[in-house]
Amino acid sequence: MTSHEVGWTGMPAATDVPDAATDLAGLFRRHHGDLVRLATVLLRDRMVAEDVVQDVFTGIQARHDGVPRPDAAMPYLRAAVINRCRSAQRRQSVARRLGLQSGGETGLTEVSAETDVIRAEERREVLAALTALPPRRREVLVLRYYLGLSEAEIAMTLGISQGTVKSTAARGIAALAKALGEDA
Amino acid sequence: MTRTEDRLADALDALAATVDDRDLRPFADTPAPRRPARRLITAVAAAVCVLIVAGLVAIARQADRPAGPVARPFADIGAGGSRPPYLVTGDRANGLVVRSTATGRVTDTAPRVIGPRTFYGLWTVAAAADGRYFVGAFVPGETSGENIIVYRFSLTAAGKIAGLARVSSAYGKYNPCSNLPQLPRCLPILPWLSSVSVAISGDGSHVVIVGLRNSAPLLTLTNLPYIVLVVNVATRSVRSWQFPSALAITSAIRAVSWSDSDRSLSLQVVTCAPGTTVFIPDPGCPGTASEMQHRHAHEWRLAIPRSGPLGPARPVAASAAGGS
Repeated sequence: MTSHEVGWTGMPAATDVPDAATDLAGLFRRHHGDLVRLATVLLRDRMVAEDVVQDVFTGIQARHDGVPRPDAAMPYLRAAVINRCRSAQRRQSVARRLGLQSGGETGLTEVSAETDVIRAEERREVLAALTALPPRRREVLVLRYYLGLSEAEIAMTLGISQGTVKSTAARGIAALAKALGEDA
Repeated sequence: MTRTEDRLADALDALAATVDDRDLRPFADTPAPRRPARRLITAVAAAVCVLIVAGLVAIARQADRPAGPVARPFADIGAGGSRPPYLVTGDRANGLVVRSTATGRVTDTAPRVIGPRTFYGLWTVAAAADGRYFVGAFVPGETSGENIIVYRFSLTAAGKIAGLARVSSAYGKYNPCSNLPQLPRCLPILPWLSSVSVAISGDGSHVVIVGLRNSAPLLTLTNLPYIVLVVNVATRSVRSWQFPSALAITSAIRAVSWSDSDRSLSLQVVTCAPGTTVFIPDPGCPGTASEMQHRHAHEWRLAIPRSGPLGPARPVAASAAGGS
């Protein structure tokens, strides 16, 4: 495993899964929306986020024996989505360099503009600063401040130590505060 | 929580709230196990899929043809009987630039199409013999991760760029197509080349790129032979031919053009005295005045069959010693 891959060992043996198809469909119904939201806050692109999550489930389907146990499903799926988001971010970066794609697009502008233009602008500023962070810092902050995971849960999801989670989060918030002109 | 943390949590929640479960695409359930009775249906469905894919490929190729108005051929662009109406050049800042040869006025530009990382770089532009199609090649020349980018386009009667289409891709290091070049939408990723010259066939169907293959971006003296790449614009297949290794030290390809009704390439080759090393990228010969007398300019002809390997190639003419 390289430093850029998320580690997770919750995949079961084939004998642990009596009805993989049924489990996968149920897994999809239960977690699809939450995973798309996670991918959306990481990528700031709803369409790509949906693709990422579809790819994760397609990958599980292709393995036939790869449906994770119910108790291990969500951490595994989160890790898989984060991994694929990294790949998508690399592709987005290349596409932007080639002039094939503009910056991140979400429905945030349209939704917020109706109610509070100023607040929407502030949110865009925060998300832009978050996007500028290195991938690992961005992932830690999203898991911490969007999903509200503990340091132990973040460490397990990303395959890093709790100490690394703590220091990465602190550096990430400090970098955000600096970018936003605030005191951390 | 600090204000930064509050703002971050608020922004993330607001962004996530834009995703409504009811709007998400469904996921196709795992297909049921195959049964013998379904084999015929499966075979028919596979045949239909093949036809659909073939149709999509045909549509994709059609889409790659120049869009918009097709340029009318200029008169005598290669024969010298009259002045061509437009001059196309390329520069790093502005990309492709079209100027009227009568007034000098810029009639159109194609914006710079490559990323901000590219600081150095050279454009090479060439026109087909009838002026109907043009080819522009940009050599980023910055890192080994960036390859030559080739564009095909034409001009309208008003001097506007039409049908600008990329013939080759770049960023081979990161381009997903570098791993799946067989995908219909993937463009060929060409090797890093220096001392590049390009040409396009009269019907615009084939682009040729000639350059010195090199793994490093620096233009240094090298013994690597020149390579000729012929790209079929429609199929995106690339055929290559390598200049004889035995002549690599003393010779350099100065220019390339299509000849013999696009059935062969004419390569202008500069050859220096034995024992010397030709200079690149502007081919020249080192040494004393006496040694310079050994310099020759050769014309080579490389056969370009409709399919299969390129070649054979042979020298067909030579200038007098000391010529160029």
